[in-house]
Amino acid sequence: MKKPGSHDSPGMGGGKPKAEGARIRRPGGAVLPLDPEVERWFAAVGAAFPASRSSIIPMLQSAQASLGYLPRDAMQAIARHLKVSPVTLEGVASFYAQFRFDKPGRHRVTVCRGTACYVRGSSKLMDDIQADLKVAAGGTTADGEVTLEAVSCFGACALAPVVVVDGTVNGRVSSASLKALVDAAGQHPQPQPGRRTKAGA
Amino acid sequence: MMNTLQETEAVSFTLNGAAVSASPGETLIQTAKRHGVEIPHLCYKEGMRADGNCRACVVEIKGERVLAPSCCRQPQEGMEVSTNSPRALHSQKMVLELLRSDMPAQSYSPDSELDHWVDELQVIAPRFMPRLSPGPDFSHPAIAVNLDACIQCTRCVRACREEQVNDVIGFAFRGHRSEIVFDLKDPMGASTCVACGECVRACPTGALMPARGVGLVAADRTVESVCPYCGVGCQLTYHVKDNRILRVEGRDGPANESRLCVKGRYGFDYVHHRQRLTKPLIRRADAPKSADFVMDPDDPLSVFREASWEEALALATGGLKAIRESQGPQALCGFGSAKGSNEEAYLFQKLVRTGFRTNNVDHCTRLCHASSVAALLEGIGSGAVSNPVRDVIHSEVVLLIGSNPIVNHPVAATWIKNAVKAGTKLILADPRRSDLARHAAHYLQFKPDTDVALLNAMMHTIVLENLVDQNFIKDRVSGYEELRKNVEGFSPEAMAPLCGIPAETIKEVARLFATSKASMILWGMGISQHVHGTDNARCLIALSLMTGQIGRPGTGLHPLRGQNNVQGASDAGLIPMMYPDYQRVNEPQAQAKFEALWNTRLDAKPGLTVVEIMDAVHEGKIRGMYIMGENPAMSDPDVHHARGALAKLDCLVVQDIFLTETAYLADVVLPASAFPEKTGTFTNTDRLVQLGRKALESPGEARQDLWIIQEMARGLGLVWDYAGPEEVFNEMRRAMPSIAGITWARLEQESGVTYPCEQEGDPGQRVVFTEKFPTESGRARLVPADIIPAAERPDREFPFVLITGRQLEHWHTGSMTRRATVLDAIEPEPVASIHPLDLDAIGAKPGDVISVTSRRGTVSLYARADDGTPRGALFIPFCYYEAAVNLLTNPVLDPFGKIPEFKYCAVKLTKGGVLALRSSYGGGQSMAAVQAEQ
Ligand code: SF4
Ligand code: SF4
Ligand code: FES
Ligand code: FES
Repeated sequence: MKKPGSHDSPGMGGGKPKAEGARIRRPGGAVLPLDPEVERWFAAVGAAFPASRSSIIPMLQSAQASLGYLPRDAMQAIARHLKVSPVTLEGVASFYAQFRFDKPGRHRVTVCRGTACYVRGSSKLMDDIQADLKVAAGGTTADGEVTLEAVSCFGACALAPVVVVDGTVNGRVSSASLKALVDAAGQHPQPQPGRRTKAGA
Repeated sequence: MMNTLQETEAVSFTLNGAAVSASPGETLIQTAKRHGVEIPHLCYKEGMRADGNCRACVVEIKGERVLAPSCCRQPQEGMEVSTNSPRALHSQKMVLELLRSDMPAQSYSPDSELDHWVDELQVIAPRFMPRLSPGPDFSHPAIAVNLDACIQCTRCVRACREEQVNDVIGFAFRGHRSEIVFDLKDPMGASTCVACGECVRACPTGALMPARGVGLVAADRTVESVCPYCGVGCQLTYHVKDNRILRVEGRDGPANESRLCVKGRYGFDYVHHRQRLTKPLIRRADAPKSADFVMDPDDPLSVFREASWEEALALATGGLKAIRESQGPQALCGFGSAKGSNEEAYLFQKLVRTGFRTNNVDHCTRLCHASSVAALLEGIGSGAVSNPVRDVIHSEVVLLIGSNPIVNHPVAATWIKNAVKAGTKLILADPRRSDLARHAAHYLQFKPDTDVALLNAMMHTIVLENLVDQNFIKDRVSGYEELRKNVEGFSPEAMAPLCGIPAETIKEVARLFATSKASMILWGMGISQHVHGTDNARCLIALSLMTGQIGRPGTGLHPLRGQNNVQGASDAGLIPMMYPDYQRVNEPQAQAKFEALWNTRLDAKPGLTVVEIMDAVHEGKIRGMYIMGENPAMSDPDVHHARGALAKLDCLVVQDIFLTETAYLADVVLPASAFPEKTGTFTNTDRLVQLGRKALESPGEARQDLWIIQEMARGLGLVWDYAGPEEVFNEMRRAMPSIAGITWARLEQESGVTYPCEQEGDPGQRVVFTEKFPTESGRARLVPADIIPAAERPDREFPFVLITGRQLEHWHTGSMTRRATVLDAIEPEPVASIHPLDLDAIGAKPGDVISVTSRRGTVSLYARADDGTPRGALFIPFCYYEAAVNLLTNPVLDPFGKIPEFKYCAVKLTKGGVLALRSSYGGGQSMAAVQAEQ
């Protein structure tokens, strides 16, 4: 048995019968009804946008502002409303870094990878926390708790290595203190307001 | 304008030192090619809009500082162009080198254009680490995606978005992260891809390829033919190896210009299915017939025994002959098929008329456009289309009503979408919102069954606002006064609540249609399959005539034909009231003509139609039936009644390639040949007669249909000896003035000729009725229509409206497509489309099993949420034997066309139900097995 995706199976492919998907897939692709939150946003704000292409970006922004990201259903609803194909919308939305397509975790952990932090060992920090949370940078843990991100410099180089947890800047972080920080954040169901602390202090 | 000058006059310039001349509008690469100079190119493909992004095609133009991409540059008078100067060559090679070194080690396609140019220019490309790629995507049953071989030439994007206008593929992200995506970056198999395969054809590197390595096998030979499915009549090429079809490619035919849809491209391997009939079968004495059978096509021997051809034919003809002798000719009948060739249709009806000696011969046209044809014959003297589909590009306005070509005539739909992109305004009127609605300038979701109200209201506006073409009426039309008086009573204000369309919208589209320079009407089964189907069509004809929108390019009437040869089979006389070419059986002159041609006595009494025949069987009037390639046990309305009739027959002979539900009730089953196993002509919806060529030998003892019909004739005492389809066709030319000028040699050479073509050498007329109509007076006739409601309206007990039809991947009763691996894998199970709120109301979720019950029966199947289906209605395709929707439909007939009301009956819905034990024929599942082996 070859691994799917290995290069020595050129051109092979062919899916299994899509049974489940085929049953519920609607002719135009969307699975209805929409997610209730999207439905609410659309009814309250979305439907008022004029149905023209120039509404694409404002509408994407509006959806993200109110939903926190751009869920699939929101993309479908926008495409439908503006009479553009989903792929046209995807092309526009993915072009801009400001749009996110994954639901953010309840907590947000951002590890700095800037030069100063790198020199002070931030890449090991990142490796360890990735292993600990079982998630790659840019992703969200399976339980939806934590989104892990990397950033190039916070401008707090004096405190390197720096990790921001739910808006709180933590300096001189070690792998152990980072784990403690993340665990502590997990105790609060909602992110705590941001403060500046020195974890080591 | 300057451009115009440039575009109409030839341009002289020098190419690599030689004087050449460019045709108007040509680009440098095209002129060069015509003069035998090949320039490397990747993002450019002949027939596609040039995008100019890869720069493999750059050439040097004297006096210009930068090199120019020859694929999007037009020559100018006196220009000096070099395609092979050191500078140009260096640049071309550099592009190829860069792209080549980015490629994965293994090529995905034996025909990679990149590899071709790399070899051609002897580029030596170092290989670097393969770049980051999203990994292969094998989620689609028909198409393998390996984006590590993608060079971002955007050919697939143009194919999907500009040619086919499916808008599935696009570019996402930016910079070095940019990549090809499907929809919202979905796996291809989960996207809205309709598997037309156009992107695969476009891809120059094999990043998109046929799945399962199918594209890597070299064919022994290729055979040029046509598609066996719908009336669009796409031309295609079979790639054959070891008597098997490897794959299918589109060919440059008049109706398709190399385009195909999922059925045409991937729906061919049914011919190799293990359930093909390969031996004649005779019913076992211990196997009683019953309308309530449960059949197992894998086990025919529980009901039949195998027999020799001699024995089977003797029994078949003996049985029919005995009935003819004892009960008289009217106790016999025959159903031919619109899937067969013109020659088969012609011989079959000749057999029934001269061998059975009755006019009881019909086919599935009765179930599709019989009412349209009745109205057209009455109004303008001809049942065929006035203009081909592709004329929509010349239309300013297209009215498409009661038709979902995206699903039923996919390639025709691409021409409509192309026209819309070029500025044509589409008015789409359909109770079900199809994906075409996105392209429509006006989408009218009128209430099912209110066609006449809507159309009469449009005509009311046209009369009231003086938009009638009085000159056209004066010169070419009769009956205007009556029509005018009739539509007076149908004001848009009064009709608006009936049909659910605001009066203002009705008026607006009426004005748009009437005042445009060219308006064309296309329609489908949504118009014809009603008890008022003929009235619906009458309204469309009147709309077109009163506004003078017929007889010119981009105007006219086009009932989109369903089957690949429903036009041809009707032309060939496979209908009970007419001989070939619509010559009425009860007209003495026509009768005399055919008595002379066929050298026999003929019956002057028109025969019975499909549904009438089933009734006559129940009444005991018809006792014997010969069916070639039809499946009334699935396709007739109230199919339990039809199955009961088939079971009641003393002698039923069925000729088919599979043990269909109909064959299951037969006394004798004759194994026939599949489409690619024979040669014959087929007439598409545009009146284009095309040649289908034999590509394969039939399996086992399966025989050519023409041979079987002749053997049946012999057994009934006729002496026929046609050597092949050509001889039959030549006899048809003598019987049918419309095709008299078409020679077999010309068909072989040109693959297709449009009729009318009365004299040899006639080019064939694509647009007809330009001067007069083929009626006695030469004038068309307006026929007013009144509102007649559907026969069975929803009520408290049965509150939903059931609409039946087809879906993209499956053809009619599914006997072919459900045995085609790819098609079955895409749509493996019976589904009903229903509005999500209605689904919610019965407490069900998408994907749940629901039961649908009418006064005639019940079926259980999966529910699919579709907010394009109107509230209070549901849609079920009729291809699923395990949930045969025709158990529910209402067998009432339109009085003129005798077409049943497939588009409307009352049902109730409940959540839950028991699914049939068997599902599918093992097509899609067999593909899963192939995968497991790998
Ligand atoms: S197969 Fe057709 S619909 Fe699907 S992505 Fe390719 S071009 Fe588009
Ligand atoms: S559009 Fe019709 S004729 Fe063309 S490939 Fe599809 S089914 Fe065949
Ligand atoms: S490098 Fe980490 S904060 Fe500047
Ligand atoms: S072929 Fe001309 S730029 Fe790609």
